[in-house]
Amino acid sequence: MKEIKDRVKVNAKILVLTLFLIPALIILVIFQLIPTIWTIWIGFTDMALVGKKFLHYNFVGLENYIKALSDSYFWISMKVTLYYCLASLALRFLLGLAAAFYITSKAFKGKGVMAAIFLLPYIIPGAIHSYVWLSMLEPDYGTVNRVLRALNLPPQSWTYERLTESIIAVNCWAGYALAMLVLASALTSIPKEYYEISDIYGASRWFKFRKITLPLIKYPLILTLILIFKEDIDDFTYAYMFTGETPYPDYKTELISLYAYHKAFSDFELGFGCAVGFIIAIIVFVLTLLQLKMSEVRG
Amino acid sequence: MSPLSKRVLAIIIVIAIVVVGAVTYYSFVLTKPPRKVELTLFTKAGLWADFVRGSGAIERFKERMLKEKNIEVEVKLLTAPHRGYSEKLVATLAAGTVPDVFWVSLVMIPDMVESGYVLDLTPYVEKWDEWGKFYKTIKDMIRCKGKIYAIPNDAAIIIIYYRKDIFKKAGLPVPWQPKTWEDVFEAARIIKEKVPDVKVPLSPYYGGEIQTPIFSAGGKIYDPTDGKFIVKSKEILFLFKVYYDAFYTYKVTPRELILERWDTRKLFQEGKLAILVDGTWCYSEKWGPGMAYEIPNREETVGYAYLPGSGAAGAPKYVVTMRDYAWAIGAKSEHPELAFELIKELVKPEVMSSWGYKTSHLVARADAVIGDYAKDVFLKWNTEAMEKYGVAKPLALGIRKYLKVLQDTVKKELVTEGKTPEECMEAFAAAVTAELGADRVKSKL
Repeated sequence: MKEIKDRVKVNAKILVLTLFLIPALIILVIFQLIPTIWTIWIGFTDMALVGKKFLHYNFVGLENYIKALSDSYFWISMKVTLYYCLASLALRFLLGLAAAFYITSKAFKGKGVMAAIFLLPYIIPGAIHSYVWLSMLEPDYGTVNRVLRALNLPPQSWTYERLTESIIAVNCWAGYALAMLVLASALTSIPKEYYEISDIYGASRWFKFRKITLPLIKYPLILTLILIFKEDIDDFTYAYMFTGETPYPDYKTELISLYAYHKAFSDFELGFGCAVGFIIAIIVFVLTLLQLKMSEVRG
Repeated sequence: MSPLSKRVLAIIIVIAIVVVGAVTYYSFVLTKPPRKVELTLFTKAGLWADFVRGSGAIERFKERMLKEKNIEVEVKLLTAPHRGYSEKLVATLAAGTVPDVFWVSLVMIPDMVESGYVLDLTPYVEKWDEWGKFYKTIKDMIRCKGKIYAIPNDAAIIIIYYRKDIFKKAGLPVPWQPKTWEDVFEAARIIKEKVPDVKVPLSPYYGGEIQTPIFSAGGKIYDPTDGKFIVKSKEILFLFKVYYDAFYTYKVTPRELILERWDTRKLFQEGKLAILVDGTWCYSEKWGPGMAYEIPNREETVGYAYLPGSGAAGAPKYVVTMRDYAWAIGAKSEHPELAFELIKELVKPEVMSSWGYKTSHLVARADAVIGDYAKDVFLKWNTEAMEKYGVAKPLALGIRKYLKVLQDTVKKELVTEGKTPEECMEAFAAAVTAELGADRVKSKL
């Protein structure tokens, strides 16, 4: 009798949990799963947004993938993306680490306010950053070059010669807060006793950083690097806002996500664009597996 | 009852029946509540939507429909930004949201017909007595497979603008009309030498009509007899030679103009660009009073000329490339007749004339040359130029891809990589063949 009662209780619990999960699952299925499956399917067709291929498209198998992998502009975009990701990774990580040290140290006052200020760029929508930065980086009248001229420094061509670097800088400015949050949380989890003991033995700051801090935040650090890389590899907003509807002739800002967008919505080759999008998804998936593996190892 | 009394009674009865019938009709039929219908109108945000709102066309249309058909029409105005408008329109149509009436670039029409996005307006146009008032060149320009899929809202041509002040400083004649492209390069070369402050002596093309030198040489891009696009010809080689000469031979156009996407209209306003190939609309839309790049004393500062022919045998003396935006009806519109009535209102002579005067677009119908438009010297000159020298690209399936490949070839192969005209033509031919298929292209060499 008791067993039956327990079983009924457990089943009731499962039922209640399931009922609570259903709305979220429905939303996930409608807005994530179905569009994902539909996108993968379109990637195997020659569907276009205009023309005959909108109504009469064919299944073409791996043709879009072969076309992408043999397209020189695809590889140029991958090269640009790799450069963008590695540069952003280094800068976002270093800035995030510095900010994390700042907000977790005891030496500075007003850390709470500063932490909120550091978070602001991360929560403001990317399109707004882009408009602001585009006007500030304008070569003739923008704020940045005006300041450089005032300091007798040569103004730069931020919106052409240094365009990729400008986009990287805006991305880092907007995104270092992610690294700051993860690393700050890792730093605060280090037991204070380790630092107290090392103080007793007269250890320098650099020694403490190398022998205590770094080893103890190794896994969060690696996870941060993977997270940042994953976030950057399918970045779109800044590249699009700085580039527009068509790529520059030398593809200097053509991130792989932007390449997929231009192919799908400017050239109207939806099938090809979806195939490139799925290639990006596979890369992000592999990184996610790596991230999960790191979490397991740490556990 | 006497016969006279019977007759009088009969007349009274007939009158009474007529009166009662009329009262009944008025009470039950004419004062029947109007049917409510919603139409969607999709156009560019900003200048375009503001003009539609301000023209009163929608209000007049609504009044007319209520009066003539007892239909209360609600017109919902939807917009997309100017930058990337065609892409957003296509995405909207592909997603199944088909507006009743939408503003469309003619180059998109053949693809939209294939996709089933646009309604064939030929039956409507054939019953429309005002269709005969539209210019023949424009009516011919908008035919796709012999049918009409959009009603032209305006026309525009590509011409050469030049700064009279810079020309005077350089000792060049004003007014100026080059007879060949060599004349254009010579003028640019002299400006480069004598007025070094000018950052860009010449901007040789407007991206949307990059094929213009082909027409200058008397060539074609499409042969309607066999339905094939021409990918190699003397005229196409001439196009690549013109642009190569501008960027490399005479160095009168800095590569950065294309690579860095310099704002040519702003440079022209600032007097840093001397000769600019661009559309009639710039005259008012960009440089007009109160506009973003206003040029004070515009009439004294801005000169304009026809684009020259190549000078070769069979080439035209001058050429002006025509382009157009038009109103189309969505193929899935539930109220195509009403949509067509709305379009009729939007392209009325007074509306078209007002739009043309405000934005320096040309009217598409002869009876719209009225009011301020008719008195404007610039618009009159351009309307005559369109009639005498106007050439338009064909509305054939594949035209959009052909022109895109041509633009890409000029930007990448010629400007970025500095390839020779012959190499560019080979690259262009290969790329168009890959896009359209070998059975849709041919060479005339």
